[in-house]
Amino acid sequence: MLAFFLRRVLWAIPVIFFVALVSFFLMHQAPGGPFDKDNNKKQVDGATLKALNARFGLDKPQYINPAAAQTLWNKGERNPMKLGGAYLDSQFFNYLFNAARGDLGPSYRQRGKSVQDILLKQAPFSIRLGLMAFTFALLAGIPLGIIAALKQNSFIDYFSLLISTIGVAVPTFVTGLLVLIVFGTTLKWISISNNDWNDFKPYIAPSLVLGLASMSFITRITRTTMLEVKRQDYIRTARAKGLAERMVVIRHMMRNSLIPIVTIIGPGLVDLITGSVITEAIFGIPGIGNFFVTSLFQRDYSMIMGTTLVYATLIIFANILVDLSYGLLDPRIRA
Amino acid sequence: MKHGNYRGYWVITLLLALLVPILAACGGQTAAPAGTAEQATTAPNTAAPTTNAPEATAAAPTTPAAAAPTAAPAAASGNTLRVNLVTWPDTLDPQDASIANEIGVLTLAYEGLTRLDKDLKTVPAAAEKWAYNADATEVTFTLRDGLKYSDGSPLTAQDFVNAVRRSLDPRGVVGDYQSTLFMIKGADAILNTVVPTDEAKIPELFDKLGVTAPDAKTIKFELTQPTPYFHTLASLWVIYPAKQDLIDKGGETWYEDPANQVGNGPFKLTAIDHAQNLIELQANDNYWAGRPKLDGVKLMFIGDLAVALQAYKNNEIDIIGPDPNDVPTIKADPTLSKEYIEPLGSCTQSFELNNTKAPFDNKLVRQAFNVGLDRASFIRDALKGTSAETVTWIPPGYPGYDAEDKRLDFDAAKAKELLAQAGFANGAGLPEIKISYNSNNPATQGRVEYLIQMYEQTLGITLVPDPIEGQTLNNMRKDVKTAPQFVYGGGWCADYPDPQNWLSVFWQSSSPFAKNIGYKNADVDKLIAQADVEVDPTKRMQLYHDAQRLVIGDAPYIIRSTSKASFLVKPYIQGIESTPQDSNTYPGMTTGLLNATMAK
Repeated sequence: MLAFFLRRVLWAIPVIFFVALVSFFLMHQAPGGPFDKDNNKKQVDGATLKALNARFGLDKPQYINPAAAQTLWNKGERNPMKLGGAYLDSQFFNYLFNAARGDLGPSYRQRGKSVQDILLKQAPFSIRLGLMAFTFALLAGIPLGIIAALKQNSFIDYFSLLISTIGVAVPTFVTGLLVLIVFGTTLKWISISNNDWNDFKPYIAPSLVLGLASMSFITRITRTTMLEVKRQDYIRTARAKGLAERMVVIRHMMRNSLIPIVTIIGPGLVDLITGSVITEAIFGIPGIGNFFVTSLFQRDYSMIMGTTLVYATLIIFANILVDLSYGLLDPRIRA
Repeated sequence: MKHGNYRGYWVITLLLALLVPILAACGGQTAAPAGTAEQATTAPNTAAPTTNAPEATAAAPTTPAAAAPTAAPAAASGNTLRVNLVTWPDTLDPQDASIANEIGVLTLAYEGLTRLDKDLKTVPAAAEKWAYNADATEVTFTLRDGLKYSDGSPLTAQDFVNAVRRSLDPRGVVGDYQSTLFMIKGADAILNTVVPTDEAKIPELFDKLGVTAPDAKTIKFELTQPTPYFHTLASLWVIYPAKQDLIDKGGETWYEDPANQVGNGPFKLTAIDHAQNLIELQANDNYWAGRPKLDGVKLMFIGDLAVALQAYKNNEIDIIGPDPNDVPTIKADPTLSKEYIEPLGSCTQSFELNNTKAPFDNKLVRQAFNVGLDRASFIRDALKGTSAETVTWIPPGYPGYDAEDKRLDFDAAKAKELLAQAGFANGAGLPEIKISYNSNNPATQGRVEYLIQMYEQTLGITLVPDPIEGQTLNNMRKDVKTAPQFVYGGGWCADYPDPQNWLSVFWQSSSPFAKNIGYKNADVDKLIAQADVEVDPTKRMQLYHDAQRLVIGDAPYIIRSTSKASFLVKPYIQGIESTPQDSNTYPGMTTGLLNATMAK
């Protein structure tokens, strides 16, 4: 188990490197740069631009810097470490070396702040929202799916189908606004604009909105796998040996139907805690969701790389955890 | 199982990696409207959303952080004005600011040597007067007596000198607007200093810089060229006197702590609270003109404009800029329609013509396209009234506006005649004309089609639609060789209210904007060069006036409309002095809400 875990963690390193390389390449393929202005606006002066590029290291070559190595060599430097260092004195490798040390670089837009400071300061809001939405999705989704499967074709089954279809089909900007209009403007249970996001209460409405889609998905998956498991031979065996129905459901049916659910909830959790642009915008939650989008619009390179790497890392580790939990759920998978 | 999972990773990571740039590309599109100024997004006077969508309809939400200020119940706000600024500012460092939502905060908390009044005239502020030397290469500002910061400490000439130095300092924040100070003597030596190699020289260069404080009340600027509009530049945020000792103490993010934001404006910053999405200001008792009439201002950041409208209806907020898509509903609503205002903005919106590419290398053809544009119908039908007609360059409300020049007014018969004079009677013999537009904005498509139909009717010419990805189009437009014949988009938004900003910055043949379309008129250059150094204000305005007449005669662009801002303002708010320079932030931003009151 430990070896399996270590192997997976080691594997993550080249994966993250690959993500960084591809993102970096494609990011620079997109036209424009972080200091561009619209054509009908005052442009950044040449001297200012030069100073900005120098400040953020954008005056260096993108991938490799043979010129710097050559200059060193001509000066008589023969130390391969120093020559190699100069050769890799480029935007990409400088970023990577700094990132490996936990320094995600300065944001180009929010000057004076580093990407990790921004993420660390604002991630807690997204994480709180995500965890609450996730808890709601699990606590409502799994029981609803189980009941729907046990009482197939009953009223409750159709009800769960209705709820989950709405949840999947109606986008969050509709449900979000609807919740605000009904509970904010009409009933005045919640405040639309005056919320302290260090409190717990304001998160209730947005987490229901955000968690609805995940909940629906989990309900459907649970129902489907439960129905499949229900028809397995070992369930008939369990019943035949006289187990109480409750035990059959909990010990045999539920446990065996958990694997597909666990598979989707790992990455699903990451999705929820890395923030939802739309839910955060509607409810005004100062989380990190919007950075995933605005940093791209603004060509804030270090922020794009930072959010991508954080997201990639979380996804990879969520998957590792999911793989580990397979072993716990089903002894046959144990490596 | 294991293999399957590994494959899963790679697929996920690959997808992720692929997704990023695609999104990045999308971003470009929105971030780079094919020029259009409809939304007025620039720096000084811009719409709050930084990544602003091109045309009015697309302007809506998706902006960053959103709703949610104070725990205080809505009604208990007393005499405190609550304004939605939409997007949380990236910085509140005056020397670094460039976007309207940043300036919209700073303009309340700080004040320059001068400020702009409701007619966009430059009036005394921290300085009670100023004087130029004979050729306007030196200007001396005299501060008011007994100026104080909001904390009661004295504000001296040296504080302004420090702000100028800080703006130019290559070791510092390097703000986008530092170039407004480049005409100060010795500025170029500082700008050319290589950091960190030569940074030791900087203090010495600062001593040689042409900005000095001979005594605590006097600031003297020495300039490399005559700059008779320097007193207007002295109102800009780049010289707001943020306190040097607090900046030094606060480190790189000093500006996030309201304790460091000790200013000299009508209000003082008391809270910068991201967790509540709230920036709060209170009246500054130490302001030289006395305490403003409002007790305070609460700036809120509701990114989703539909939500902001709900908050407005719910009386949680007093001033918002609504989503353009909601405007028809607002105008139809009996209550809201009375609270809705649409002041003119700071942008002139145009269609860009490449003056070096046939047929637009012919002045008569350019004029024909200008005169053949039925602005009233286009604005009514295609833009749903989100702009106002114009046929001249400097917009109404700005010094230099030329109300008399009607030469480009719509006249279909005259347009056909001009086209015939150019040798293309009824369009015969014209090369194919493509109208290039930003394909990322769905709203533009319909407007381009409308325009094509219009020119079919007025000129008898069929234009070919040419959709191009936004950021790509933007880059094409930055070089006359690649600039398309006819671009849906183009124009200019004021940085500061002086004709120099509209003519010298734009139509002088050395300007990047004139270059990008290959516009060059030696007479215009001559007039502008004279005007730029003319000390006598009347003569100077006349020279700019003449230059503008020549530019309009050349019809380098198709001049279309003036931008409009759009706000909902609660009826109990009085005395807001709005200017075109406020654009899409909040009405009264430029005048600092000095005379605003709330009668509740």
